Formats: sequence, C-alpha cells, structure tokens
Amino acid sequence: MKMPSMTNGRLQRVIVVTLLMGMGWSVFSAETPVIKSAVTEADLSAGEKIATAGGANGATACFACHGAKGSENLTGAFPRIAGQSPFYMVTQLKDFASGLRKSEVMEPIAKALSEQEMHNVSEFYASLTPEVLKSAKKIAAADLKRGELLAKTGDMKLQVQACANCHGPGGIGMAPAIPFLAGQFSTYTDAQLKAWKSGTRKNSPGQMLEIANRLSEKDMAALSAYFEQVKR
Amino acid sequence: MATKLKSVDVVTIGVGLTGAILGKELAEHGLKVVGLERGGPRDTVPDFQSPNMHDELRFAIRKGLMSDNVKETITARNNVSETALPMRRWESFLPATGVGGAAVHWNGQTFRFHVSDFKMKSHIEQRYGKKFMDGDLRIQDWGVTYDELETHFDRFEYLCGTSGTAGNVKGKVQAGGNPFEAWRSRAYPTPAQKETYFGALFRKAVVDLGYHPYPQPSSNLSQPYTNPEGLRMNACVFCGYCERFACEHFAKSSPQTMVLPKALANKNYELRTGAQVLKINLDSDKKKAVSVTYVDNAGREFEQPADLILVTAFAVNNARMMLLSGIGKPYDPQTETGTIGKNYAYQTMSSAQVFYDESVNINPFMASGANGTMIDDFGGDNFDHGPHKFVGGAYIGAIGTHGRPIEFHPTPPGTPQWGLEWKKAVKKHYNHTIALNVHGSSSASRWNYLDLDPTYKDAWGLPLLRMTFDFPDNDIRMAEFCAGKAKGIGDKMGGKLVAAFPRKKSWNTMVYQTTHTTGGVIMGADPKDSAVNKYLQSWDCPNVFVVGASAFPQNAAYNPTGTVAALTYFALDAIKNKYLKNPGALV
Repeated sequence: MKMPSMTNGRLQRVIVVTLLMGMGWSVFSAETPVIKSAVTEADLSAGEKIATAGGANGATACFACHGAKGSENLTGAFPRIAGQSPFYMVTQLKDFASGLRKSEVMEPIAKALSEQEMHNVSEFYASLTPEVLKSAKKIAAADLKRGELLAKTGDMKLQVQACANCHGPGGIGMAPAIPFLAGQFSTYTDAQLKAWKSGTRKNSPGQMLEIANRLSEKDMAALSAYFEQVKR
Repeated sequence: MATKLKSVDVVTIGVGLTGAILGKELAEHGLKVVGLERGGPRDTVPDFQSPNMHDELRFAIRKGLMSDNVKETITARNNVSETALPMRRWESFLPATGVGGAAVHWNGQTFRFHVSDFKMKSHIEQRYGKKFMDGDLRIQDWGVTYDELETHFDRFEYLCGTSGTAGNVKGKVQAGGNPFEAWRSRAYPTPAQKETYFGALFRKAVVDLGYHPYPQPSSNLSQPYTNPEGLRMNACVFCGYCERFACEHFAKSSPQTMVLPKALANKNYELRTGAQVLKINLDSDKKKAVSVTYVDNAGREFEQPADLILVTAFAVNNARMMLLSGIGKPYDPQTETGTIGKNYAYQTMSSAQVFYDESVNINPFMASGANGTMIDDFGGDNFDHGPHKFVGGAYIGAIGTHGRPIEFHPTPPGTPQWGLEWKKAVKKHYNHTIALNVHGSSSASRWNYLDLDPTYKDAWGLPLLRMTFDFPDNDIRMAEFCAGKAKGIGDKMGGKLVAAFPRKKSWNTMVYQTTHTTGGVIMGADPKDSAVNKYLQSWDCPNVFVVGASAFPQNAAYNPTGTVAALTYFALDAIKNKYLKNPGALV
C-alpha cells in the first residue's frame, strides 16, 4: 500500500497499528479487527452508490440527511459519520433494524439494507475525512468548563466516570466498538443521551444507560456542547 | 514529643477493606471513629480515570499503587540459617498503600473457603488419621465454623454485588455452579459474567474429563447493581487493566465504590491520611491498649488515645504492628513458644500454558479481573488425598485477566528470553495461548514465621518485619499433582504444545505469585497456639482486635478476600453486640 493514496480513515487505522507495533504489539497481524477490512475498493464504490443513490432494495440515499461527505449537513439533526468506525456504524444499522435503537427515520432504511450493503456504505463513510466543524453556537464558558470536566475527569458525586475512558482522549473514539464524539453535532449527542435515559436507545445497557440516567439535562447539554467544539 | 489528641472511641490502623467496613459500621453505631491511613486519599474520580490509569509501566511494572519500599519494606530469607535481606522492590507480593488498600488493585476474585477449611486439622485427622501430615506442618482449626460465617459471607457478596452462579443453595446442589462449594443461603446478587472463548475451550475439555466447571465469582460486575448501602456500581467493560490498577468505571468492588462514601458522609467518622502508625501504646501492666502513636507527612508525631483499637492493615503489617507494640509473645520456631508471627503462610501457585496454532484466536486483551472458567475438583478436600500423601489442593482455571503488552508474552519453554527469536515467538503465540492458573493452598509449617529484623530499620527507625518462608515439602507435592492435572486439561483442550509449571523450591522474592500473605496473628480456640480468639480479639489485650488474613491459621487454595471480609463482619457483630456492652475478653 502506498501511503499517499490511502484515504484518511485508512491512514488513521494504519497509524493505530503502527503505534501498537511500536508498543510491542507486533503480534497484531491480519486477523485482528483493528485492521481487518471486510470490503474491497470495489465495495467502497458500491457504498458510495448507496450513499448517493440508495440501496438495491429501496433504502433511501444517505446523503439527503448525512451529506455526501458525511459531515456537511449543519442542521445538527443528523450525526456526522465521516471517519466514524465502520464496525460501529454497521452495529448501529443492525440495531436500528432490530429496534434495539429506535429511530423512525433509520429503521426502514436499515431494514432495507442487506448486511453486505451495510458494510459497503459504512466503509465508504469511514473512508471520508471529516471537515473541521466551525460551530456557530455560543456556549457559556461555565457550561463548556462543566462539559470538559465531565468529559475528561468525571463526577464523583454523580458516580459518573470520564467519557475519555471509553471514547478515547479528546473523544477521538476507540475503534472498532466505541464511536468518536469530538466534533459531533451537539444536537445529536444531546438527543442520544436523552434517548438512553428515555429508553428509546437500548444498545449499551451496562454503560450508557447508567451514565445517562445520572446526568441532568443541563449536564447533557454541557457535555454535548463541549464535544462539538473539540477538533478531531 | 508527640502531641496528645482528644480521645476517641475507635481507631483503625489502616483504611483498606477491613478498616473501611469496620469504620463505617461503628460510626453508624454511634461511635467516634478515626481511620488512620499511611497512604494518601484517592477516589474513582478523579484519581482512577483513564488514560492515566492504563499506564502499564507506571502501575504494573513500577507498582504505582503499592507501598513505598524505600520507606518501609520487609526482609526475607528462606530459612533460619540465612541472613534476611530487605526486599528493595515488590515483586513476589504487592502490599498496597493509600485509602482502599489492596482492595483497590485486586482482581475481584471473590470466594468462600470450604466448610472443612475452617476445621482443617480435625478434618484431616478424622479422615486420614493423626499421622497423615508431614511432621513440620502446623495445620490448625480456626476456632470458628463456616456455619457461623455464612451470613457474613453473604453480606459481603451483597455489598460487592458479586457476579456468580450458585453451586449449593442451602445444601441443594445447583446446576452450573460449583458443586463443591460451601452452602450458601441464597444466589449471588448478580449473574455470572459472560464466558470468554478461552473459558469455553476450558469448559469443553473439563466436561470431557468428567470435572465440574463453573464461572469464577467476580466482583467486577456483570451488570449494574445498587448495593444495600445505596451505592450504585457499573458493569465491567473488559478493559484488561484490573489487577495492579484501579477501576475507572465504578465496576470493581472496592472500598471507594461500595462502602467508603457512607463512612465519609458520617460525622462520626474521620479519615486521616498520611498517618504512619508507629505503635500501639499499652498501659503499665500491658493488659490494655490506651492509644496509638503516628507520624504525619510533615514528620509531626501524634498520640491518639482510643478505647478500642482495630489493627486493619495488610496481613503481615498487622503482625509487625503487634510485634512493634509488644502485644503478645513473639513466636520462636526453635522452642515453639509464643504466638505473634506464627503460622505465616502464603500461596502455592503453579500454572500450565496451552499453545495453539494460529487458527485459534484468544484475544487475551479483552479481559476482566475475575472472569475465568474453573474447576474445584482438586481444591480443599474435594478428592481423596489418601494415595497422594499431601494435604491441601488447588483450583484450576482458565483465568485470563489481561493481555497487556509489557507483561503478557507467552512463549514455549526453550525460547530465548530476548532477541529476535524471542520476538518471533511472542508474535507467534501472543494471540493463540491460554494460561491455566493452578491456585494452590499454603500449609502452615513450624519454620515459616514472621518476626522483627535484628538489623534493618524503616524510615522512622523501627525494625523491619522479617519473613522466613519456604514452600513446605507437602505443598511441593501438592503443586506437582495439581499441575499434572492442569497439563491433562491442556492436552484435552487441544493445545499443540502444553507446558506445565509446578511450583518448585525455593521461594523467590522476585517471582510474583499472589498478594495473599496470611497468618502471623492467627485465630484459634486456645491462647497457647493462637494470637486472637474467634472474634479476632487479642488474647493479651482485649481492646485490640486484629482483623485480616493475618488471622488465617493456614491459607486455603481460594483467594482470601471473601473470607477476610466474612471474618471482619463476624468480628463487627461481636464488637457491637457483645464487646461494647461489656468491654473485656469475649472468650
């Protein structure tokens, strides 16, 4: 593989592997999920086709909401998915289809995607470089500070651990299972925390449900606002 | 000159697991309690948070959570003819420091000793005759029975939220659990953790061999749990940084997650950190403790008077505190007189490694501290020892607690220890090897004991504890037998190569076994051969209770924490319901 021809998502994964090797984890060879790629270049273009024109069985094209580049719809109602972990995205699509994660919009789309299509379109969006978000929102300094505290340190009184434990330092995510939060639209993150709490999202009962249950709406807003302005 | 402080009702020397439980309970009972902790304050937030906590070099290799052995250590030798030397670096076992003690960095493996463990001497004599045991062994009964402790084991497991599958509820054997376990009054508070792939491979093999697999009881929880104190715990995320680390997720039961917040919220309870206790002061006829002397981080000396003094430090430090304070008579192995320091025991760890080819992926890095699949067929007295001529046993399990990059490098015997060939072997075997634990008991022997070192002193000028220990021949025979069983299991598991490592003589301070040091202030029914009575009350000073694994007359195969906690609650009941009403000797 020539480095310059690699897309950013790939490059990041290669960097992760290189770092791990540097730490003595040279044992990670082709069979570990960190670098395992389920699809070929051809599937990436099939994924792009799903993103722009929809799936073979009538799944709506993703770009209408998520943007063709996966990060340019600034309404904030839909998550930025460019560069997101493909494993995570496939898992979410499956959970939308099964109802473990409720969404009126995503459920019919996910149900209309075959597993191969899920992989293709997830790998496509994972391969894109997210644009740096210039948040127009004005956030009170105190809220930002509170959000940062929860993100990096946690809150002993609430018995809530820092987000960084799982979502990585600076919210960069811990692929494959854990999504990035840095630069994510605050409207979306906030809605997810509320979804855990209200029970419409059930696919992390051991962790996110517990954490969301302990956060006030004010904390959720502060946390979401904080992560939106963190650059990945 | 020590500053004399205002008297309080209770002092605990150490605020680890036992100190936190007793401090919290007695403060709630209305007593003024001061917890003296030599280390610093620390809590899940902010101290245990990642990414800092996942620093293997700092915490696992450099022992970042352990006590500072530049200031205070232990001298060691294998037998009385040697000169003991100080351990300059912890390796064989890891004494903790700081609030929460070793229950912060433990793995959460939460067992109950067997019914017969508590009356081991009489049980062995009854089943195998009086001459069965080697002449150097000093196995004793505990003076307390399992039936007396059951409710206290139960209480601790519900405090922790321990995840497990019951094997024996009120005498009725339960499918899926350990059929050999001591009876329990009810099921575990949370279901067992999910079985790992390496656990499933182990299970299949031991079922084929006719053994009885069960999930290891874990205080790294399988699901969120609210304990009877109203404290909420999370589910384990299998990060693989458990033992030697603190849990960032509120998922490992430790004093911080399950009991301390309640103590700290009580105005009767005061925690003093950075308080190095030098000694317990006695009255003129040495029948009563009156105070403790401690030094704070600024070097100031204080005398804290108290009516009741609870020695709740790490097991061997409990023995040292008794020796430094002159409570009871030091044990002398030549004459076999004295009781303080007697019956020091440890653990006899063996292992086996099962090497597969590259088609079997173990993913050892997805791990929790106590998520093994194991058998107890060769533990305790669960099999006929008659033909084997040893006492004790071991549990055998596939208990992968981590696949951390610096420490986890399984390579077959004969592999060079460094260089290109070593690197190739590590790469080849890292993800395709299962380690089997053979967690063996430790018999008390006449020649294994603790006393004060005649030469070496700590930073405060006090003699270090001297540890004289080697594996008794009995335990070496036990290790050979049980490691052989593990080898048989490994072969059945389909390993391409199976290497067994029975524990051999002599004890080496630079090889990690476990942190399960026991004895030194042992419990019993008779002051002639024990230091404390069944309530852990000193025979010599009735207002001193010595709480911890220091009370074990010998060590069983299982990890000790569950039994330590059960003894703690048993002592607590006696203090609350008997001692406080009529302070004095309870037996």
